[in-house]
Amino acid sequence: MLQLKNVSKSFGDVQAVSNLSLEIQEREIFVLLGPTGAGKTTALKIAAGLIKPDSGQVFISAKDMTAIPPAFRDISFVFEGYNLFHIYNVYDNIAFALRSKLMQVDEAEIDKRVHAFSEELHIEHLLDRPTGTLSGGETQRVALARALVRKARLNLFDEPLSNLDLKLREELRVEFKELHKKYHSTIFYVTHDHDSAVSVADRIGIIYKGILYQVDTPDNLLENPNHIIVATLINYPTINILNCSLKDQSLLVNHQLPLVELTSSKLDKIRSQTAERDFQVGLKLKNVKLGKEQGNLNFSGRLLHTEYQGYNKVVNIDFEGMPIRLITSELIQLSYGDPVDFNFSANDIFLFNKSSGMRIL
Amino acid sequence: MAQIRLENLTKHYGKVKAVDEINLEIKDNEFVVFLGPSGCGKTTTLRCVAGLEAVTGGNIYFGDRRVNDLEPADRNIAMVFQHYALYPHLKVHRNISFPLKAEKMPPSERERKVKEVSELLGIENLLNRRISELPDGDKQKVALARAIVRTPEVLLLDEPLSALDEVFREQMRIEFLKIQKALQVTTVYVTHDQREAMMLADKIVVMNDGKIVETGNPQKLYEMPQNLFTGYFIGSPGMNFFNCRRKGSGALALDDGETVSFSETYRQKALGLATAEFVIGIRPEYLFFKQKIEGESNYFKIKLVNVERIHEINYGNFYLGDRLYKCLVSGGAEFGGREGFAVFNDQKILFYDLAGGKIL
Amino acid sequence: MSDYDQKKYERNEKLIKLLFLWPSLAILLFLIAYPFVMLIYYSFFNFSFLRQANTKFIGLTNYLLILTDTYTWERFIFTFKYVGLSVSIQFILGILIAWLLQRNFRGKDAVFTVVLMPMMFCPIVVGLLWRYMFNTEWGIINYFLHNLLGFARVEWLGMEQNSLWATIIANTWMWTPFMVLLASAAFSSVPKYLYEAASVDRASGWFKFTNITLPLSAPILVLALIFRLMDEMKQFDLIYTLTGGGPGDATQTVSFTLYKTAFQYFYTGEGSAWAFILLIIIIGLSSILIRLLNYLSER
Repeated sequence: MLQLKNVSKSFGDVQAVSNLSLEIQEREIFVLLGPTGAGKTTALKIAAGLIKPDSGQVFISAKDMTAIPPAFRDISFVFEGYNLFHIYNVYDNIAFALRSKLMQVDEAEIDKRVHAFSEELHIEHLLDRPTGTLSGGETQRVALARALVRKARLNLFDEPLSNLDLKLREELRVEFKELHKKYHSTIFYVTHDHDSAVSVADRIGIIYKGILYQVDTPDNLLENPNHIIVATLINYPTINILNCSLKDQSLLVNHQLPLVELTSSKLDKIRSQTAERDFQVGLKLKNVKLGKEQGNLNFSGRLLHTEYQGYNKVVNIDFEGMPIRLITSELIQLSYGDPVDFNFSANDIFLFNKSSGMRIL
Repeated sequence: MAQIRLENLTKHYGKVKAVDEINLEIKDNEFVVFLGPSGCGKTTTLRCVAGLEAVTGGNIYFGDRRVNDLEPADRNIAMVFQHYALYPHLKVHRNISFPLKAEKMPPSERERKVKEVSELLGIENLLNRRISELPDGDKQKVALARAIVRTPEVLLLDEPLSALDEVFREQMRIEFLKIQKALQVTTVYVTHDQREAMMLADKIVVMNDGKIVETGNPQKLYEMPQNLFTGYFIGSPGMNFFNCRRKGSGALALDDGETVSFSETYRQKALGLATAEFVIGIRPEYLFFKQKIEGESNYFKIKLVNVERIHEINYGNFYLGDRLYKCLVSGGAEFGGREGFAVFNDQKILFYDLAGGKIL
Repeated sequence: MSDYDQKKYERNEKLIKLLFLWPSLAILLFLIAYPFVMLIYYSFFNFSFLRQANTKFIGLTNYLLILTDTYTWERFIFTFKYVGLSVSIQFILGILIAWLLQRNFRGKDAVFTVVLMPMMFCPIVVGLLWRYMFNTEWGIINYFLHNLLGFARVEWLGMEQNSLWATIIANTWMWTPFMVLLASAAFSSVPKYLYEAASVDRASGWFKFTNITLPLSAPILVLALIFRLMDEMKQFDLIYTLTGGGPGDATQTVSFTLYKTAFQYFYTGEGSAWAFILLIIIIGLSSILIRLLNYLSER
């Protein structure tokens, strides 16, 4: 439905997007997730036609749209900060695109659609208000209505929820997903907010410094990240990372403390991919448990502090000078400096090559 | 090193009551977080404590001193702003040492303190850099360093993390805690992000519409919120609130008529309440989805719409009437559409009256 | 969704672009490009507009004549003195007044308007106005100085040293508002929370001004400086009506000399050479300042 092929764009010295290729299916919500400056807004604007790529092509519904301006691509765009027209009231804002000559929609149909969508988004009571008087949540809904009312074949959203309070964000995420189900729209959404991405997306693309690392469903990204960047960005709280080196058959921490003993099959796998000896071990917080457990790898550290998150607590432990965190729902009675045991299974480890970041195990 | 006391603190902007008669005591060395949605008055309160806003009514005390009329410069406070507020023309070490210079501290002392503070925050190697060259996270660290370098009595932070990326936010949260423990300084922190509040606070002050809704430590506010608003605001996802009606027959109906079954103790309690209509609050984490009842005494019938994964916990969404609620499910997307029961534990349910207070 | 007709769209785009461009292009061509080319052309001839018969090609003679004449250098020195002093005073005064007008006070709008008014006058009118005010016998300035304050009467326009200051004063009166306007705009764009942080840190007013206000306003202030410098170098109207270049040629700036050469003596060729030299100097100065502006904007 939307295809970006080998798209690159630089601004002066900065390479915003490098050789990016991605494909979005009809009716899916595709989210591009990455920190600020990763290139996601640039990628979105290239898909929209607001930015011309230095190289590469943009295909919409299999047609090459690279040279075609945004107005002719049958897309809608919600900007970060919403960009409503403050000279118009809410009704006119939503109806704005429909009134363009390119759309060929008559006034009766426009009225019908505006009312239908504003009802969906619970803003029907705001239709004759000036847009400057709306709250954050209301503005966002108007922006959404304005985009969706066009029934465009592709909807592009640039961080639509980022300006909102946490609670509002959580509520609107659910509404967002419901709307999508009802209208079967194709949505291309970019954000740096992990929670929004994971709860809303059908598939997520992890982007960092202009490079797309992996595209997959949220679950698959969590289970099988192919790069340390992916593992870091898709997990919240972010995974534990320990620097280690390979000696004989073990992975050592601080060059002397053995962390894991590797089976021969694993060793073979490592050796077949790289001759290097420096690695990073990734460990999800939920895979680290408190206390000792038979059959798992058991270690000791000192408690730094406990973060109470409500249902879960995140325990910060100092392990040989490195921070390790784990999640538990147990009550912690320890205090700063107390020794604390933790364990994890060797099978839960992700092993990343330190220099390239690629995942080995 | 100071106790803060707010006595009937009020701030009006024309007709708008931004802060409405707030009473609060903050203990020495406490880490207090003002939590609430945009416009609830938390930032205004902070600015009144700082002296950046003139108080319309009420008093602010630092220890025994009434500070209403004191300029910010005279209150021995330090502040970290949302947008860092660093002096653009000065290098990092001059930014940090500035407050000391204003105090006329001798240069050697200043050097020492700047070094101390920058080591504490891990920014020693940035001292000679220009502010404009630094990434956001480091800018905030410099702002923090500048704030603590002269060991203020009170440290005030105004949504310091909202402009930062998720990655930096996590790092900085730990820095804040570390700093506060190391310095033993009374800290007031403002945010709308309840996760931050939960992680950092000794005491959370929940605010809405210019008033204090509730105060308490994170655990208490999570497990037993005294107010509907608190239960809704704290926790991700927030608490489920069901309207419950005591029917003439003695049965108890939820929202649109689903009967809820209670264990005997709770049933008696529910029946014994003064009002016939009240609100039941229960957190999604304490509401479990089961397809068949196997001996539980607290349950009601639901149909799952879909399953949502939040922080690697599976929540099932379901409707009662036209409101959406969440519960825990033990599986994944395959549970979407299934019918069954929402089961809950005796101790985890809370009763509220419709006006928003709490009864139990 | 109507179909996208690429050819028609592109053709329309081109037409619209042309439609918007041609007036400016026409002006550029006829009023600037053509005269400019002719200017350079004439500067190589001993051309005189009135006596066109004896036109001869003389190569760089005009330029050499100008550049080797001590008279030229005197004019340049005066011009630089005049421009340097005028712009400096306007700059400092403008910033000061803008700084004072920053706070909100009752009647601020009225005061602001009054402060800006001098800028709205025509330079010729200003020149005449001050000419009368500076009149030695009955001018109002001397009235204040002599009749009210007891100083000796100053011969503003009659003595060399004084005439320099007379022009500077009139000029400053007229153009300081410009600096005030731009400086005010620059100052109000500085985010308030920076000042708040400084207050919390016990910064003095002076510190706030030099370390927050000025650095963040620098790009706009330099821009204002560029405008003023370029303008002053070309300044003609005011001097024409105020002093007429006098006494003698005491207040004769380079541009005034140019006028005399080309339109009083009608040495058009030589005048063209003057013009070209002046142009080079203005371009040179502006480039330096623009580079400074870019450097500042990046920081």
